[in-house]
Amino acid sequence: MSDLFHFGTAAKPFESQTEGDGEMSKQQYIMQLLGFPGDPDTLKVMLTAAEKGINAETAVVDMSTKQQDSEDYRKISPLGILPALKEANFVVLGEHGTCVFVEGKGLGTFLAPRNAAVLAEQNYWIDIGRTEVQPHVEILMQEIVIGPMGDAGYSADDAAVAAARTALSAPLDALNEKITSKFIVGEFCYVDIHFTSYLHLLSVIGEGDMLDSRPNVKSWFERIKTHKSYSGQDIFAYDMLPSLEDIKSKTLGDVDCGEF
Amino acid sequence: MFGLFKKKKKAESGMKLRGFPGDLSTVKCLVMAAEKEVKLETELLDMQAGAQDEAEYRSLSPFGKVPYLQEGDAIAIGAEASLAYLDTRGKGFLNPKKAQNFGLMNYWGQVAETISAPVESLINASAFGTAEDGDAVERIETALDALDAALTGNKKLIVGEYSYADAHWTAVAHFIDLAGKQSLIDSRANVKAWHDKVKERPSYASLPSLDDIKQKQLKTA
Repeated sequence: MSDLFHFGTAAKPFESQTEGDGEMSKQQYIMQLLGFPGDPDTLKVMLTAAEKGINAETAVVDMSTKQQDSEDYRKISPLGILPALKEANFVVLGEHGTCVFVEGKGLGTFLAPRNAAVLAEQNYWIDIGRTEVQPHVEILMQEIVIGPMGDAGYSADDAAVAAARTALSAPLDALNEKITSKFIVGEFCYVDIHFTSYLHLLSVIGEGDMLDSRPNVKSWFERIKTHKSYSGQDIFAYDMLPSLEDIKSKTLGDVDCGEF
Repeated sequence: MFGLFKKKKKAESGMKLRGFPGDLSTVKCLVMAAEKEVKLETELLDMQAGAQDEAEYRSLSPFGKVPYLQEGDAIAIGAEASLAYLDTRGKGFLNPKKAQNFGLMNYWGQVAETISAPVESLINASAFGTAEDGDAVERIETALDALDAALTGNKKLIVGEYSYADAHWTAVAHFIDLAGKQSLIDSRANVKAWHDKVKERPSYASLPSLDDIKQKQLKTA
């Protein structure tokens, strides 16, 4: 058994154990994220962290070899739910829990709308994303990218790919109809983070025509790419998302919001 | 989030919920409304007859999400939206203020959602004689084992204070109970202690009985 959180700053000895002055440095409390670059939920947490000015060191749980089912990962996440985030001795699991924890620790405007009706609208679209979009994005990711990564002889299930593309039409059409202002429910909030994750992955795996063929979705996605972090730092959260090469090489960059 | 919603002093009247007594999402909203002391009128959506897929309902909820909550011009569709909307009304807030508890609450809500289908398969089998999913009990047991381990240490509520997570699991545990699988809860000491605790709360009385589900009766909350 090995500790998957034993990486980065956490794997270094405390200054007090070396030649430091014994004071706990800020870096020793840095958040650590275990996830996978082709996993939508991992990307949601990275985006949330970047929006809220939270630095996070990352390490990969290799979904192409089903590492989420390994004994080491199940010791952290008994049900195999990704991602996992650790701060000091506290661990939180899954996108639902991890995003709000990061938000609670972060800077700037809250990501949940304050108006009850807008909040309900946001949550409805988050729900649509989770149930009508994410499962099909995951099928495309598995068949087109992850499957061949784990097995050179992998043969994509063409019927599953076609079905996933078809199933995405209705929710993306509805999203296109929904977007009538700058962001999905008017103000930038969690639902924009969710759909950024889905549409970014579709885009990098060669399904970008699903965005380009829907003008409101396309223009929203362009605005997202240049949405400056809520933390006040001069960064764009979108820039931290992995490329196709990153996914294929199982590379997950750290969330680096710069010096404060 | 974090107590930021602008809320009204008194529970609003005229809030209407359209749902089904054998639907977990509907029942979670009944729990939430009772906890918040929000009065809800209810209207049956006969999901057993497929009403959620009919054109009339799809004109309101294009993807067939249930329940449908309406207050004046404001609507909330599905559990995710309806629970959050209900939490902005009535007494207090069910979102913990501490970030750690907020994160844990959402994680356990997510885990509860992962077993919605097997739990509903059990209740449908009991109420309507439909076939039970072959791996339903196994999947539920896996999640209950994880919850039991997390509740170790004499915690009576899932994140220490009553939260959305308890509302989610109250509905889940109630359906397990109604489906005649109470042993799944009773055999796990920590889950049983938690279940005994939530059963003492007045909100438990708002939950439908097996007869209510069979007869498709949705109580007013």
